[in-house]
Amino acid sequence: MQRLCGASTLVPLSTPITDSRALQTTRVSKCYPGGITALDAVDLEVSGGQLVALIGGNGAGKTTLLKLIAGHIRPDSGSVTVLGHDPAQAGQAMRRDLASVSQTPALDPEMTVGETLEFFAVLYELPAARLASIVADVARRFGLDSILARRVNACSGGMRQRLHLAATMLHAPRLMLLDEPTNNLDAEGRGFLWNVLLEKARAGVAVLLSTHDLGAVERTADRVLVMHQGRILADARPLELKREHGVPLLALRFAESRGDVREVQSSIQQLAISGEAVIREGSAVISLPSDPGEETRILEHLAHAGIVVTAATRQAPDLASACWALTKDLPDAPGGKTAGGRRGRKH
Amino acid sequence: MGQGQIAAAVCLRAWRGTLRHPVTLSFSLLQPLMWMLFFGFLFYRYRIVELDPALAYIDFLLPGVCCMTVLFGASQSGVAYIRDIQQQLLGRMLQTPAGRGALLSGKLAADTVRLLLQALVVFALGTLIGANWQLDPALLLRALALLVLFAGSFCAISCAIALLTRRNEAMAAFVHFINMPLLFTSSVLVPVRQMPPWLEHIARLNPLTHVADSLRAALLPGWAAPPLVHDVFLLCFAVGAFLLAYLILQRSPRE
Repeated sequence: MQRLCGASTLVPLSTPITDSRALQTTRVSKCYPGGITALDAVDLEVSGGQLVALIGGNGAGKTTLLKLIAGHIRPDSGSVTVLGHDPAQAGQAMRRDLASVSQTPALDPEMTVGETLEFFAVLYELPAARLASIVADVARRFGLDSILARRVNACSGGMRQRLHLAATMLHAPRLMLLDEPTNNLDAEGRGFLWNVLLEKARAGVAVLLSTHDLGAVERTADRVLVMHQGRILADARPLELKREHGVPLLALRFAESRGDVREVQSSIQQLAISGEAVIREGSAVISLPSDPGEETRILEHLAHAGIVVTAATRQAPDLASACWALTKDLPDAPGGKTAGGRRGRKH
Repeated sequence: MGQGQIAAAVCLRAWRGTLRHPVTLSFSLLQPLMWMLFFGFLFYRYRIVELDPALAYIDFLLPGVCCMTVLFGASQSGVAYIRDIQQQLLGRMLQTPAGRGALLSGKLAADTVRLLLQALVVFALGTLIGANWQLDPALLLRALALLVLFAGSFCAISCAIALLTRRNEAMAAFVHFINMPLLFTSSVLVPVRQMPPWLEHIARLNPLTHVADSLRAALLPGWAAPPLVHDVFLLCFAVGAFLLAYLILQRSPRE
């Protein structure tokens, strides 16, 4: 199965599409008022057992695609089939098999953590005899069992996000749609969430999520879809995507006293390098697309500007650099950012 | 898990919210108390023709103000939906397989019970400030059944408006639009027979008149019970209001 539009080469997808597909979109397009094209003829299939990550900058169309699949909005053209239903018209049967997790937690601040889980367990029509044990089990797995009596408005952002996620996993969905579920989670919470999602996928659930957590996508996802301006530019395994499109990286470390982000940023801007640069306090990672002489030029320029580089190491291509390479020659969406979203951004 | 349990869970959630903010409850009791005091004094000498000469205006007023309390509370019922919409909680609830009828019934049941209890407190307050009454249990049962239909209808209409407009401002406009005209074209403050003829015709069609006069029949000796055909009308009105809210809830966005 090959799928690539806009870019120059095709990215092969090794996993064969089987009949167990949980969702399919065929040439789905969506425009918002003002002529903003959110989705442009998107074709996508996800099968049970796959963990599929949607990546791309803000405004790439990830959220719109997820909302469309969940049936929250209708496409202007094209068709969507979710678990055999048209999601915009689907009734209880589809809602029983679907978990859709919005970007922001949807919780009642006045309820306690335990009450929230019980409430949703009832709404998901869990059998009364097993309700309490399912709620206790989910609470334990999500690390909420010690705060069951706490009101939601007294919970931290991370706790709320955990509760929000837990409340969507009380039933046994066959398809999970998650819009940036790692928001508000600390490193431990993110690791936990990725493990949960992987576990669900291995149990046969189709998982489609949008995320900016590219490191975890590399380690965990079965497929990566790179979105840009409402189109899917690539659909491949993370390793394949890196191999095909990844760009070598140059990691620099600066002396403490000269680590000012803005100074380094403006200095690198003057260089007009063809790669992208991620600049942090005291360090920078610059992608080096082609010219081997580029490294020497960068180091000389920084030395000239009085920025002391204490270490410079070559790094293997990562997923972010592959995203950058895929989208670098495409125009940015109005008001949006480049896919991968890292160019010149401060961290 | 039956739809009854879903309705019970929604009802329980609404009640927990009410009990955790008892201050709002006490404020909602102040207004009817003020109406009773002000109008009780204003119309102290006002003679109600249909009333036993031994009874006073305040005795006539109390059942009306109890029904008014129910109407004023019911028209605000949708405000909780606006809050749920703002917290994206309503869409979240609609993503679950829970039946919309159960979600709506649970909410309406919680609000109706709360409003009847508020009316009971207003009744007790009215008795404390000197209103007299004499109970007819059979007629009271009828009046309570009508009050339940009345409260449920206006809660459902309020929820329908909230789900349709999804904005607090629109909700506030609706509350004002419905409360005062319904109050002043009803028999809450003045009996229909003592109204100008044009107003009397309007007042007889007003459901608030009907519940107020039914409650009076149960509490004031000699007060004529309104015809049963009005009960049928109120029942149809309640079914219509529920269906309206149900259909709008079913079409509400799931995000």
